[in-house]
Amino acid sequence: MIRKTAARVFSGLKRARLLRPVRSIVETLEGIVLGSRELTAGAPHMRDHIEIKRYMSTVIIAMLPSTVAAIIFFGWWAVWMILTSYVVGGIVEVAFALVRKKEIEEGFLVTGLIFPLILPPTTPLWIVAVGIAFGTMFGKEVFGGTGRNVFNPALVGRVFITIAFPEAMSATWRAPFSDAITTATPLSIYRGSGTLTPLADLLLGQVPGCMGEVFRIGIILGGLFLIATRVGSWRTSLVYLATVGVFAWVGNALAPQAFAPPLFQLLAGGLLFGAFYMATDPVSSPTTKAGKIVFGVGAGVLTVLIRSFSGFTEGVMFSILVMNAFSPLLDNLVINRRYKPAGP
Amino acid sequence: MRIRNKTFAGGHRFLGFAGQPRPRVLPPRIPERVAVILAAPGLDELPLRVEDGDAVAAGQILARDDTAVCTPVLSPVSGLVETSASIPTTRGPAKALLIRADGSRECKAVRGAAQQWWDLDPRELEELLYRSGAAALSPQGIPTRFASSVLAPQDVRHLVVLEAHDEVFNPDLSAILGEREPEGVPDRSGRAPRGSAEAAQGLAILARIMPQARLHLVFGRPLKDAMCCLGRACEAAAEGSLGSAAGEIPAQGRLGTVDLVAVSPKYPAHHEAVLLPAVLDTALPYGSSAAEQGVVTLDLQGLLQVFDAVTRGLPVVERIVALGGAGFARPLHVRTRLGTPVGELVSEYLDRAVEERLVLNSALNGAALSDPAIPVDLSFRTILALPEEREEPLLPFARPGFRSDSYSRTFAALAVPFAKSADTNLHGEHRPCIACGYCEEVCPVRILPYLLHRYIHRDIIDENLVRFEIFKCIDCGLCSYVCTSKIPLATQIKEGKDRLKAEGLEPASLDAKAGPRSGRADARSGARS
Repeated sequence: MIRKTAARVFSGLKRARLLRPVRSIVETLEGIVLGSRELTAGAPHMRDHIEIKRYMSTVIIAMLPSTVAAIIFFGWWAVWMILTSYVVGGIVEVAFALVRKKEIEEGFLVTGLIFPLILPPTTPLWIVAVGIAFGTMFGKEVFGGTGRNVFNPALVGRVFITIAFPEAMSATWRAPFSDAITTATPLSIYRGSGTLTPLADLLLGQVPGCMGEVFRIGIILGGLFLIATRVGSWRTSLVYLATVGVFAWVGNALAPQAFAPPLFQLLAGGLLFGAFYMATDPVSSPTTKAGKIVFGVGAGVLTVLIRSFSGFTEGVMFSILVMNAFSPLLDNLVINRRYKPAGP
Repeated sequence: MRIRNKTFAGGHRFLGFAGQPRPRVLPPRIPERVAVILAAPGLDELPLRVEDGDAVAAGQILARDDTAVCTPVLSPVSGLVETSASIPTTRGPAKALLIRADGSRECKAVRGAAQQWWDLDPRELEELLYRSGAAALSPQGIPTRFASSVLAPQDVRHLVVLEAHDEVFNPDLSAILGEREPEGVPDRSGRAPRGSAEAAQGLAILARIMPQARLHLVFGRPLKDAMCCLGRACEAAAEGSLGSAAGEIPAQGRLGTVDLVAVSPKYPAHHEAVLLPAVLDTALPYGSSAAEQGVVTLDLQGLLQVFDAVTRGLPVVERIVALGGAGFARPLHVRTRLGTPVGELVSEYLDRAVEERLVLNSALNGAALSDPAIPVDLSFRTILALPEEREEPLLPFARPGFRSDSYSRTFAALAVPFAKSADTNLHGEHRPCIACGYCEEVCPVRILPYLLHRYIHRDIIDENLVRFEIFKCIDCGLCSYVCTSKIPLATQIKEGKDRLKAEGLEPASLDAKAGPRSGRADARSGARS
């Protein structure tokens, strides 16, 4: 009944002359409300029920614990940040879809949520807007849209505002349930004084940090859910985390003044969030299995190195972006190793 | 009894779909008219031994050629030869002989059959198999001295009885075995049921004419019960027992060792390129076929028909076909005469309220039975009726999906016992590849479908595709099945292969196939090369 009405409404909307310029928006809405009526053209006569919308909504479900925790910890401002990100990101996406006369791609549903979750909870809304607009445009659309982007769009936006507004992005933090502004996250406290935040506080999120990264039990559960549903790749996430653990353990044993201990490194900062939700982005990470493992190792090594030796206290963002850049090369190496190129 | 467990990388398990054929076999109905294919599309016809207007008996040989690689063509019904005509088949139009049936159920028994088959010598057994049409029961052809296969009997290294149970809808073995019991139910007294004992004898018969062959029963794991039953029957046959006491059969009629293999029921476990390496530890070289590796396969039904042909002289004129899928109001098994038009066979079992697509054997790579005039032949195991689901569901991505099959684990069907739906809806919209990697994970021959897609999609058809082992593809269709972006990968890969062949870029080992003995005549449809 509802289905039939909806089908009628959409066929009417698609015929309306007034709506012709925004046809791609109507089609996108139709695609969300109503499923496919297309049939298979031949063998295989039957198809899997998985499709992009479900694939992407699974990622969103996996991020729900972090999102809900962000709203509980940081209050209404978190809601405003998420809404800003969706609205501005959506406008950019729609604008490109209209110009290209294509449907709006589902990837932005994930990007629009990931982006606010990797920002400090005190970020002004206009910076959120600038960041998501930049990320969507220069992280994704200029490459030709979903499936063709080299970098994770949310990280492109994040790195842009980190460089453009360093003050807003790293000087002011808030702990959950508190209005007090602090300047220190667990990683910067360690960098400054060598003091380790208790692991239980890290797990439960009772420390300052980016909105979505603090409730780490939720991230671990969501990440395992992603792996269990086969939407996230265990190769990328677990190899990334294992590399950080091993490298930090070795480093800490050899040079404890530079390297933080492994468990602290695993739980601090944005590592869990990055490893489970951002490194696994299928488009910007390698496609080959071996490539995924090398990606995980590379990102892990870079993260620990940046955390230990660079001017930044956190290295997840840069590590993933750098490895994103290497992904096509890694895939190429793996493929050429597997299938020997023909002679010159 | 030792059962080896075997599996393989990739593949997808299709489990618990609605519309599984119930274990019941309906008796045959004699069709008004049958079509007997004389030559597979593109191959020469066999010399006919009858003329238009002749009266023929069921089981009578209509055409044979003992020198070319082929098997004789039998009349499946008694009646009058009408005319020869071009009829549709799943592989295009083919020349066929139309026979109007007179309605009688009688069959012309093959002479020389003996209940005590062990008293016959192998040459007589071969002749019985050839003249009864049983030699066509294997896709490779059961080898006899009449060139019924590219192999000679002594060249067979492995004889495989295969019931992989890996498709969406599979024939039910208890139906096929149970049908042999006089009262229609398998014996539960602990003794192997009669069907199993007969299948074991069938295997012994084949072993007798293929002395070098190692014997294998390869069953999908869900069929373990049937397999144990058959295994016990084989042990009895090895002791020379016909069911009651040991030693009834003399030494030459006793069965040797049979290798029992429970294979993972993942699709496409039945495919030779997957089966041979996984089960027989035999590599299948690039471009080679099972027959070229000395492997002969047949299904359980075929084994029983071999037994019937040799012990009772029954010609192979019938086939039990499973009807599966939600498009059938009554999914079950029907015994049918070969040559019966598909439309006539299925019409009374279809669900009138549903628009359906009829598909042969496999929902993944089976041919659509688009023309009701296509005749049933020995390659028929299952006829699928998949509903053409044109209704778009409301908010599909937010539904729990209690009946949705998926390689991803994102649907509630994983956790609930409801039967899953099998229909022809695409279940999604076309999108660019997001490199999720599912196609690589399911690929049973370990190629990278998304990589081939990238080239073929951009119309780059060159040596690179050969380098990426495009010719390893066995057209199983799993990559298209699992694709999140609904890209028709299997179709594109097939297109890529066809274009490479047209450009002469096919690897050399494939050309070698056209050697003298391997004219690859289709033994089943009785055509010569």
